[in-house]
Amino acid sequence: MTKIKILSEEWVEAFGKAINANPNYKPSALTWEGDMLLLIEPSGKLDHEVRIFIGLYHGECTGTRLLKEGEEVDTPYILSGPYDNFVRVMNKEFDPIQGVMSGKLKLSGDMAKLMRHVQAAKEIVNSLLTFETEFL
Amino acid sequence: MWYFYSPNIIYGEDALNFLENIPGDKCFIVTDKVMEELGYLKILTDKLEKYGKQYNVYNEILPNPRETHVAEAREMCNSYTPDLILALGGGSVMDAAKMVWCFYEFPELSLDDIHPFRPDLHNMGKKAKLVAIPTTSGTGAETTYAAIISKFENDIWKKFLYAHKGIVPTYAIVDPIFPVGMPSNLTADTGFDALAHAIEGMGSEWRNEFSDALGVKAIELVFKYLPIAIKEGKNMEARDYMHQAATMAGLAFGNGNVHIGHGMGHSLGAIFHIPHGRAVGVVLSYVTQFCLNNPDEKDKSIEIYAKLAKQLGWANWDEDNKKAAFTVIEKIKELQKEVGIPNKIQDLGISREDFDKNLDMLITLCYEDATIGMVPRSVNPEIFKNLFTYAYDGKNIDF
Repeated sequence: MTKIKILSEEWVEAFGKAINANPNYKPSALTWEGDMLLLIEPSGKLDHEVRIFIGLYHGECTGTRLLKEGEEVDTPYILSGPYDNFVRVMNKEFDPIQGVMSGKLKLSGDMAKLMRHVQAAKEIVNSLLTFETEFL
Repeated sequence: MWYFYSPNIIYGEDALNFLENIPGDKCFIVTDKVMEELGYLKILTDKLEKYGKQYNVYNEILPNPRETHVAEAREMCNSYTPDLILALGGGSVMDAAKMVWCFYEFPELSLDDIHPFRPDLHNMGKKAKLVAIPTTSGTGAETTYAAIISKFENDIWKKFLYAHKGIVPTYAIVDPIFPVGMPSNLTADTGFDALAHAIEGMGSEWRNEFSDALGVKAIELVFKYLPIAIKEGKNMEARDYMHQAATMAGLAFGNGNVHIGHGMGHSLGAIFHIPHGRAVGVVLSYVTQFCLNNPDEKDKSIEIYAKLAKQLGWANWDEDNKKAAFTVIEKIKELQKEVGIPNKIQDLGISREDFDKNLDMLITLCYEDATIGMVPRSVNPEIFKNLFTYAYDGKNIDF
């Protein structure tokens, strides 16, 4: 399997497709309504901020997009943190909820709703592991 | 970075006398009618009177506490303005009391405002301290930062988890004077709740060295003392160790979490009104086997449960890990048989027709339970359907 370079347009597109192809994601997110912005801060080998829009609605990924510099989006959820910590999530050193609880990641949005969808958050990460990523 | 949160724990015979040392003269007691009928409330209020403390009592908490009960107790507490809140009872009472405490400290909040990520709730205890006094040996709620409260949604009372590290009780008074009066069926149910906390906790994705240490000891104590506590209800040593085991298991799962056994148990409880401990006890061997069957070679379940079996002397240290790990399943089944916990869902008195009719809802409710995200294997509705069905029929998990 060809590795896809992390944070490239191709990788962001593959991410969205992988969420929809993951049979365990949909049932865990049937009641989820709320797009997400991933705000990846420079750290380690990443020297600039990267923002990724992920459309999520009732168990479907409605689209993913690498945001251009200066492009504004209004999403009810924003997950932010240093690049290295996102990589650690992908390596399953900790899950996204643990990341937020331990301060490695930050999340804004309706937290009560999020707590009803812990499994969905986990399956989004599992989706990322269904294709090979070339890290920076 | 991770956390280990714990109340100050006072345990053993006469632990209740420690109330004298806790500053605060105005006590708001959250409890239920059963505690009053059993005379347990009087044991507590006699102590309070002896130590010159005033009190007011809310005794309307029911099993699977509802938001309406929390709201009533909240109003009463806020107008009484106590400096100590005492929770006397089982998990339902202690969970409700955590919420009452939270709303007393932060009157502007509502249930859905309580989640693990808000910083202000770390500042609990400015107005009152929470003292949890468990009367059963199983729930572990005296140690945890979560509360299960039922809300009425879509024509059913659904259980929701409200959690924050700040709502760990200030003190847990773990005195065997209370569980010594438990009947044998309640002793078995609550004992299996403790066991499920410890065994699921060891397999959870959030497990850690602290939770493992307490989990192993709790399992050892439950296997040794639960059968004695059932056969000789007044055996104070067995009651004391079971009470300690439940608190240890509470610390284990409170800091490492549980997983799908509790999700499935909560579903069974919500639909068929099965006591919580019995519900999680029935499915425990099935969910453990599901974890041991994980095809992912990186998964550590075999290693974890093999080590447990070896530490407890259920397998030799040179035993093959897979074989050793599966002795845990056999030991759970043996203990179920010994203390009268059914090993299959059909033995809970649920007809095949009722089970089939409610199977989809059982699965739906699992997905609304935050604990299912901690299982080390991916799950989907088909897997839950099979887990429930195998557990109904008493079949070994072969997937």
